[in-house]
Amino acid sequence: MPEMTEQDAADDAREALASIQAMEKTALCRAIPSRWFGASIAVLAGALVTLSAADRREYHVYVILLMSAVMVYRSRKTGVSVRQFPTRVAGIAFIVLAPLFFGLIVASQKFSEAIGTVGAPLAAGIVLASAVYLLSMFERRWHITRIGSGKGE
Amino acid sequence: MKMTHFDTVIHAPNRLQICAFLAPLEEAEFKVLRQELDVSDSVLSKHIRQLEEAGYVKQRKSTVDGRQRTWASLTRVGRKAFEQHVEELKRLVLFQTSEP
Repeated sequence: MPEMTEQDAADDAREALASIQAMEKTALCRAIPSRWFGASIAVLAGALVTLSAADRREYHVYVILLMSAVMVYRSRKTGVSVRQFPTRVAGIAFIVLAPLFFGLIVASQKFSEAIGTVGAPLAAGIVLASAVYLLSMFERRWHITRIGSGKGE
Repeated sequence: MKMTHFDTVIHAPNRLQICAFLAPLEEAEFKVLRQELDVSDSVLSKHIRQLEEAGYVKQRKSTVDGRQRTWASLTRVGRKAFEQHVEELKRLVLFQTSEP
């Protein structure tokens, strides 16, 4: 068998890198979170705040179960589950959502006299749901940009 | 400096594609891998088994609606080996292009 030259090795390596990039792109395409997924999680997160603010914490377990069901359904439907959550997005999500979650509960309880005991928790839920939906769209865009730039590593 | 290592277990075209597909994911279903690689069940099983024997891939079985589904994922060792292999490939390309 003839020995592989440096040129052959480099060509082989280049071909392998192109194949790797193509497969990583394919995997990322499958892993893009859909709009319905972001919206479902947003509504459920909003429901958690609404229930907390309305002092109906006994229903939390159902909402959490529904969230898990949505996530399981998504991974079954796409056949993949995502690993690489962008650290920056995860950081922003934590910094923004954790204080917002508790802040909205406190605010809702403070404003319940003015807006009403139903209106205030509902408003708090809508605010959090909107924030979660925006973050999910940000994550979706991040995935699309990553695929577009060919950065699949 | 990044470690590089040419890995013959990973470099075979189908195994390279399996690793590349699994790299950005937590796990992927066997069926999805078969579709994307466009290979038969037996070919995919053979390559997954070789990667598993090297400690690079692990499999998980789950039953959904009475049907068994298999999920594959890269292990920590597999992920590292794949990263080092990619670095080695990049080094080979760079080395050749920088040669006069």
